[in-house]
Amino acid sequence: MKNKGISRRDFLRGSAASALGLATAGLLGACSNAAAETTAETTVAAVESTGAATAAATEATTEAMQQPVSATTIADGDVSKYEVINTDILIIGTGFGGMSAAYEAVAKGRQVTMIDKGSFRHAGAAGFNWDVIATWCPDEEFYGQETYVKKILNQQALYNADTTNPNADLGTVLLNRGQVSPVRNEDGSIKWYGDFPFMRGMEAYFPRHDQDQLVKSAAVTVIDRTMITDLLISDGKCCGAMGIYLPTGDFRVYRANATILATGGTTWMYGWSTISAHTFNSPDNTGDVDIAAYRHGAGIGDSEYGAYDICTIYPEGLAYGWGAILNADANEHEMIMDRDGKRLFTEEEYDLSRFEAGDRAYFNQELAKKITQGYGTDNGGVLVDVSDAPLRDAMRRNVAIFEKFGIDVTKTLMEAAPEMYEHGGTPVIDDNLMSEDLPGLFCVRGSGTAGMNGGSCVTLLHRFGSYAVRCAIDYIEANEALATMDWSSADTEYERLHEIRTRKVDQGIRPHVVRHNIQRACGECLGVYRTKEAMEAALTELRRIRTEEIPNMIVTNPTLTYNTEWKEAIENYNLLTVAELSVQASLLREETRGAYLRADFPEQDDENWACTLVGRLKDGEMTFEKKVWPVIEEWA
Amino acid sequence: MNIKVYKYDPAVDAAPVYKEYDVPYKDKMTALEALVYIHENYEEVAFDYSCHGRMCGRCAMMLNGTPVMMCAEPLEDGKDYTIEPLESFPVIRDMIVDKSQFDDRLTKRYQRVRVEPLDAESIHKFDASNTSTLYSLEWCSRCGICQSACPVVAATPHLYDGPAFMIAEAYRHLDSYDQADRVLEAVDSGLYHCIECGRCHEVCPQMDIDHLGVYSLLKKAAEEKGYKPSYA
Repeated sequence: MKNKGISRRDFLRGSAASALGLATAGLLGACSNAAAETTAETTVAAVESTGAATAAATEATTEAMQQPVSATTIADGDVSKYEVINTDILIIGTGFGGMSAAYEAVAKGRQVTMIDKGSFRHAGAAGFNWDVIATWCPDEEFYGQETYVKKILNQQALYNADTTNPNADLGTVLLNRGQVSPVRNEDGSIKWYGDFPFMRGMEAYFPRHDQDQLVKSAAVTVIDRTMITDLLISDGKCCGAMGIYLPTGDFRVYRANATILATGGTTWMYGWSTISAHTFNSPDNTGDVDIAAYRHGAGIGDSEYGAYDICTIYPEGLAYGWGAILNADANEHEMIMDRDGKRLFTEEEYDLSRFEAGDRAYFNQELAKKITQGYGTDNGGVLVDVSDAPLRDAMRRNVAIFEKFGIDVTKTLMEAAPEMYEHGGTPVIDDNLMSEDLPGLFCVRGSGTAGMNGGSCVTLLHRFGSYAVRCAIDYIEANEALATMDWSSADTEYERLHEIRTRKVDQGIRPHVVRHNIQRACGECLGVYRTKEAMEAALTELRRIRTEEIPNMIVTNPTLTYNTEWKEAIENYNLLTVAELSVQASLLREETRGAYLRADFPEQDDENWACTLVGRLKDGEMTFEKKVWPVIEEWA
Repeated sequence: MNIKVYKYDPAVDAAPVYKEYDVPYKDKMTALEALVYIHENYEEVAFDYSCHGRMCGRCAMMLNGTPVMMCAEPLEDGKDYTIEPLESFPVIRDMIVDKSQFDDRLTKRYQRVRVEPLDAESIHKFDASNTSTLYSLEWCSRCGICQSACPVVAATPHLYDGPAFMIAEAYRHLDSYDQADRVLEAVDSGLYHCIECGRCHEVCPQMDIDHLGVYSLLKKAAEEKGYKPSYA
């Protein structure tokens, strides 16, 4: 036997892997395929042992050898550093887009493995358990007429998704996915949140029910608390992904026939105050996979765009937490006041129907103008008045949280500020949502699909999630398997991650310090009002962080057990790149477009800038190019 | 404030230890802010949070022996605190616990059971009389705080699944689309072993949920169906 010392711990790890609950069937099924290609003698399952685990000795058992191993490991006869888990379709992200993709895959008879960085049903924005308003276009005659659709650049992708969408009646679809929509008329019928030919909405959409219902199918395997850090690239194609199982620190490689990227927008780079970036989005979203694609040469677009609304910033510990704030979106303009407590947006001055129809870009630009005209507070915010506002139930319930902290918000004007709840910054895709640079990688919210909206939204995620899987299946069926598999990216990534964990530097800098420096730099310049000076200063700071701080970033505790500091350090590489892409693209785009107002170029310039700015790594340098999308005639 | 924090890496340490830190109070400080302060100013502590607004349930921990959602829990100036991982769940490291089995089991209760799918007509057939209760139950974040606080779960987990499971059963009981016998499931899960002490209600960060009202609603339905057990 060629195994070089399998510890008891490694054996126990094997047992733990088979106790993954929902993951079990898919995982073991995948193992048996891998094992069939090799022999008992050459199947070695050991993982780098550290700390106390090293002392835990040496008993090899045949059971321990059931773990799958990498091809290079077998060829070299060396100790494996990682497990390989095989799946048909890999979906990274269990949120709205990932779920839509998984439901579609199962309906098409495919087997999927879903990965999430957070704990399943508690991860990302879909894991917030919040009262989302789902909207959709109920009449195909009006496809292409929705407010935000007009701002989408890759209209062909949306046209393809919309006109083939099996979930066009999203309300009925969601109600079949465990939703109850308790907002009802007296006769029990659903009280729609708006019912127009071009838009119908349903309140009280709590996404966890979708997740519950999804895993009824044995074709779905969910492996959560797993941070994807790189893509598995062989012969220029995406053949899966890899990363760390956080509870144990184990490195795992997920091999797939097609990979669906369905993670959320990287808003966690935007500002910092005590416990949160200036966003109510999740810290789970740090652009890990987007930037992995970037490192492999993929173009990243829409980085300059964010989406914003207003939320209270006092008390600081409750700021930016959606279940503990007062939130005013474009359609809730009535409660937004200027620094003197007067309505910021009045019908005499504004076309309020545009706000109410969800034109957030218009809302954000006008908000930026008002703040810069001196109507804002000293902190660059506004005031929120809920004494007389028609609050949604989901927001009214937050009044009690303020009471718990001794504040009666019904009698006090509360300071609020724009927060970035979504962000673009994703791989550039073709009309079929596949990365233009990495075949086999399909992006539910790829750049061009949200464009100047500043990030995707629930209704688009449902449409594109479903379409991404249909495109992925076409890809799988049209392409033969690779003749050989190049595992070198897995070996390289393993080394990279553990160098970060074990780095020794005098006067090292802890990851949270680096993180907050990135956040402060972005917080200064990536809001709804952007100046050249602030962006240039931020870019200088981000470059300083890259050269001075990143090499000296250290993880103070090298444990493999749920090492949050290690996780944060790895994420910082991605967050920094997203930040640089965002600031650089904003500087390059010498116009005002989307959800922000540029001080020195206050007008939209379609002649020069009706394009996606694509950031790409070339010879180690961040470069940009323009990509112009065709306007499709069907929706012209 | 003097704050004592539980530290334990089961892969390295022989046993948990407690470390003490001096944390300056700030206006309307939350427990999560204090923990972040310790992590950033003294030494690394493993803990997890996401939504920073009592929705995701990931920052549920023990604060002076009481399970709380750290992000929405105010501290008092001058008071001493002890922060520990959420009781009744296995510790992974420091304040991070493994709730995956709890979550998976709860998911099974929440999965709807029906003979056939709904269509665009049948979605409108719904008993509107309990929709406000139903809406309140939507806010259960599945944080595990009620499970951790429940004395019956602690004493007789083989008899009573716990408050979170009763909320799940009540949710589907009130869901007109669901066709399973959720009342029977609730009784089978130990509904009548609940002593109605109200501890779950006291600790729940979602003030919308009327826990005792929910149990009473389930018991009334159980009695109408003749499900009241002989021991009750």
